[in-house]
Amino acid sequence: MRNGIAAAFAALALSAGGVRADDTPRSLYEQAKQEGMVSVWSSLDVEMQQAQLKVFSRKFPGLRIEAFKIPPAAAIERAIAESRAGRVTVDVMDTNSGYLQLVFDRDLARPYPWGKVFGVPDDLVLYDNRALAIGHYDLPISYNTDLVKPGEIASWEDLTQPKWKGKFMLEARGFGLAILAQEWGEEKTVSYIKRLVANRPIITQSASPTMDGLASGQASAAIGAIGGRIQKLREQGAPLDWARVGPIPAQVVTVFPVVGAPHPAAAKLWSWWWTTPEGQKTFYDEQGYGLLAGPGANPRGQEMKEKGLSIVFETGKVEEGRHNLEIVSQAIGGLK
Amino acid sequence: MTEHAMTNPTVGSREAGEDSARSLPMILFGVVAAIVAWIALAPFVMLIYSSLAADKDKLPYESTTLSLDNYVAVLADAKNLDLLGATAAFAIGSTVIGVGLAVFFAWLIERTDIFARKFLFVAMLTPMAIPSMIYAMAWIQLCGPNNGLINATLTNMGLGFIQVNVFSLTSMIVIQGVALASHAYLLIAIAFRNFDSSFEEQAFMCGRGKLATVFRITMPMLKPALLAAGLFFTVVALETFDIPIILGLTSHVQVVSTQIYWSTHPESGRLPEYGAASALGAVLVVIAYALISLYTRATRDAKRFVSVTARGFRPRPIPLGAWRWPLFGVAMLFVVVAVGLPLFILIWRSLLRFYQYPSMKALQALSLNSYYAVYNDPDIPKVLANTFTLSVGSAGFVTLLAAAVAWQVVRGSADAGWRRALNRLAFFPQSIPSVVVGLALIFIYLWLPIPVYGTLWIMAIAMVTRFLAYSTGTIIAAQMQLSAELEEAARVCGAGRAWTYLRVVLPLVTPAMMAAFLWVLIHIVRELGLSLMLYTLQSQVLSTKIWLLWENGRVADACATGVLTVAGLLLLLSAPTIFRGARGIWRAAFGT
Repeated sequence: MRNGIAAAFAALALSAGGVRADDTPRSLYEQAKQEGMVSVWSSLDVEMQQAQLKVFSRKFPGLRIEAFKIPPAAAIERAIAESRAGRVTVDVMDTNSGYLQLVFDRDLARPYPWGKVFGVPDDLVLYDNRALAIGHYDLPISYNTDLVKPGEIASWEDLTQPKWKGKFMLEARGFGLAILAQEWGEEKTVSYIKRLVANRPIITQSASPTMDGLASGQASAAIGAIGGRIQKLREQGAPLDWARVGPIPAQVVTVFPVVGAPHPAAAKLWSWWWTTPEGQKTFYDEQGYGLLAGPGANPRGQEMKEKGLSIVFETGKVEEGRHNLEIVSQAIGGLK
Repeated sequence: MTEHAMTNPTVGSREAGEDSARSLPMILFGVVAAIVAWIALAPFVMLIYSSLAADKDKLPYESTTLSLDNYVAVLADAKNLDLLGATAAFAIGSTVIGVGLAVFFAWLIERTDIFARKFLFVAMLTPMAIPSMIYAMAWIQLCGPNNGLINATLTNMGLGFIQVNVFSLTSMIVIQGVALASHAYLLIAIAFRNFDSSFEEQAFMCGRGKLATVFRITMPMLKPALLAAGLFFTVVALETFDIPIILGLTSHVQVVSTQIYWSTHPESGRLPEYGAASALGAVLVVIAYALISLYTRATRDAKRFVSVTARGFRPRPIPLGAWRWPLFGVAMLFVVVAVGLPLFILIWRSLLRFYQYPSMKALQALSLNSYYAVYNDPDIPKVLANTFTLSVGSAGFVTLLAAAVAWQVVRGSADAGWRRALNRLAFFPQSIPSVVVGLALIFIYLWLPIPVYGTLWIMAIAMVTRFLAYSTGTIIAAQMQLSAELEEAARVCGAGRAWTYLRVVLPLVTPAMMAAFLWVLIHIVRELGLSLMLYTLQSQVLSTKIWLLWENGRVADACATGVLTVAGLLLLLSAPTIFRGARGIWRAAFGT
C-alpha cells in the first residue's frame, strides 16, 4: 500500500515535470515537430547565436526557433507575470545561476531526469535536475594591448598600486569581486576594494561600456569585462586581452524549460542540445563562451588549467551570493 | 420632462435640444477625462500599491504585506538628504541652463532677423535626435580623462594643465542642460512664433530699448509657455538617468533617478525593488504636483497671456542691426560645441570598428563596414516598419488627445475644479518611473481580456502614457495665447462649437500640435526603458535594436544605426523646408 502511494506520488511528480515514462530523444523530437517551434528568452547575444540556431535546426529539422535577448531580471519578471495570468508564452530561458532561486520559488522550473533521458553528465545537471549548466562567464582582469604589455599585470593587487591610478575601469556592481569574496572572505575583499577605489578607477555601469572603453583607450585595464567577449573582440582586431592572473571568478550560465511552456518537448530538446559537444563547440566558436572546466572545457578553460590558474565558480548558495554582491557594490560605492 | 413641456410640445423639444446642447460638452469632457484617467491612473495606482508592498524579492502583486516601510526607509535615511541635495542641484541647474538657452535661441530664431534661421532651427533640434546614452558616451570620448579628444588635444598642444573633468556634478549639469535646451526649444519656439509683434512695436514707440522690451513685454506675455517649459523640464531632469548614471558613477554623485535605476536594475539574483523605487517615485509625484500647482496659480488669469486676438496678429522679426554678427557667432559656437562635436564623435565612432584618437593611422582605418552591416541586417526592415507604426501612430494619438485635454482645460464648460483636476491628471504619468509604468501595463493587459500583451499595441499605450504630459503642456500653453474673442466672433456669425473649433481654433493651435507631434515622435524613436520591458521578437524597434547592438559589443554598428536614425529624424524636421524649397523650384521652372 505504502509502495503504491509512493509510486503514485512519483508518477505525479514526473507528470508535473512534463515527463512521460517513455521519453527518449527521438520521442521528444517527434513531439517537438508537432509543436513546431520553440520560444527562447536569452541573456546571450542572440545575433551571434544565429549560427547555433542553424546548427540546431539542421540537427532537428521542422523546428522553428524564436530567440530574443532580454535582461535576466526583466525576463524572470515577465515570466512570473505570465505564469500568474496563466498565459505563458516562453518555452526556455537562460540566465546566470544567481537568478534561479527566484525561478524555483515560483515553481517555474521543475525536475526532469536529464541524465536518464539524454545522458547529460551529472556535473552539468544542477539544482535537483531543474536546470542545466551550459557555460561560464569568466571575469578576469583585462587590458588594452596598446597600453599594457603582456605580464605587466601580475596580480589583482597590482591595480591598487600608484602606477595604475586613474588608469583602470571598475564595473559598478563588482560581479567578479563578489565571486572572489567566496575565496578571499568578506574582510579581505572589502579591504581590497577600498584600496582599488582609492586608486581612482573610472566606474562603469555594466560590462559593455567597460569593454568598449577599454578598447578605445579610455583606460589601460579593467575589472568587470567578460573573458569570452574580450577574446571575441580581440579576434576582430580590438587591442584587448585578458591577464593570466588567478584566481579567475566565473558566473555559471544555466538553461531551463519553463513550467507551462506552450512547446515543452521542443524546450527540452533545446536545453539539452546546449550541453552536447556540438552545442558547446558552436557556443564557443560563435560567442567565445562555454564550459571552463570538466571534460568538455573550452580552449580558454584548458589554457587556464595548463597555466595553473584557479577558477572560482559562482556559489550555488543563493543567499551567500546575494550577500557578497551587496557588500561588494557598497564598497565600490558608485551605486549607493 | 416638465409639466409645461408636456403641454407644449414645441417648448418641450426646444428645452430638450438646449439640454442636449448643454450636456454634449459635459459628455465630451467625460470621455476625455475617462481616457486620461485610464492612461494615468493605472500606473499611478501601481506606483502607490507597489510603494506599500513591502516583501523583498516579490513583485508588487505577489506581496501579501502592505506597510509604510518603503517610505520610512526613503524619508528616514540620512543619505537621502545628500541625494535630494544633489538631485535639486542637478535638476534646477540643468533646467536653468536648458530653458535659458532655449529662450535665447527661440527669441533669436523666431523673433529676430538673425542669419541662417532655418539652419539654426534644425541644428538646435539635432541633439534631441541623439539617444541620451550615446550623447553621454560621446562626451566621455570628448572629455574623458585619459584619451578624450578635447583633453588629449589640449595636452598635445602643451596645454595639459587645462583639462575638462567630465566625471563631475558640474559636467553632469552642463551636459544635461545643453541636451535639455534642444527639447525645451521646440516648446518655447511655438510661443515666440505666436507672439504678436505689435506689442513690441508699441513698446519701441514708447521709447523702450530692445532689451527692456524683451524683459518687460515679451517675457511676461510668454509666462505660461516659459513656466510650462521650466516645470516640465525640471520634472524631466528629476527623472532622467542616462547622463547622471554614465557621468556620475565615477565621481560618486547619485541623484534620485539613478537610485531608482539601480533599485529596478538589481544585482544578480534579485528582482527589481519596486517598493523602494515607487516610494522615491511617489516623492517625485508630490514634487511634480507642487510644481504644477505653482504653475496653475501663476497662470490663473489666462487673459493676461493672450497674444492672438480677433484683431489679428503679426509675428514680425526684430532687426538686430549691429548685433546680427556677434549673436550669430554666439549661436554658431553653441552649434559647434553642443551639436557638432558630439555628432562628429558619433559619426567617427561609426566608421571605426574600435575607437581611435583622430590621426593619419585612424583615417586609414575608416570604413563603411558598420553601415553595410546595418543595411544587410535581416531584422532592419521589420524594425523600421515597427518603429514607424509605433512612433507615428502613438504620437498622432497622443497629440489629438492632448489637444482635446487642452481645449477642455482652457475653454471647457466643466467646473473649474474639474478642469484643474484633468490638467493635473494628464501631468501625473511624467513623474512616475518608466519601469513602474511598464510593470503596470504588463500586469493589466495580461489579466484583462484585451489582446495587446506582446504586441506593438501595448508599447503604443506605454508611449501615450509616457508622453501625454509634454503634449498637453505644449498645447495648453498655445491655447492660452488665443483670445476667446475669436470663438465669440465665430459664434456671433452663427457657427456651432464644432465648426468654431475646427475652422478657428484648430488652425491656430496646429503649430503647437505639430511641435508636440514631432517631439513625441522623436522621443518614441529614442525611448528605451519602456520598450525593453515590453518588446518581443515581433515588436522590436530602433531603440531596442541599438541597445542590442551596444550590449553585444557591436558599438560601431550601434553608432551607425544611431547616425542613420539621427539623419532620418533630421530629414523629418527639415521636411517642411525641403517641401517649400522644392515647390519654389517647381514654380520657378514651370510657372505653376
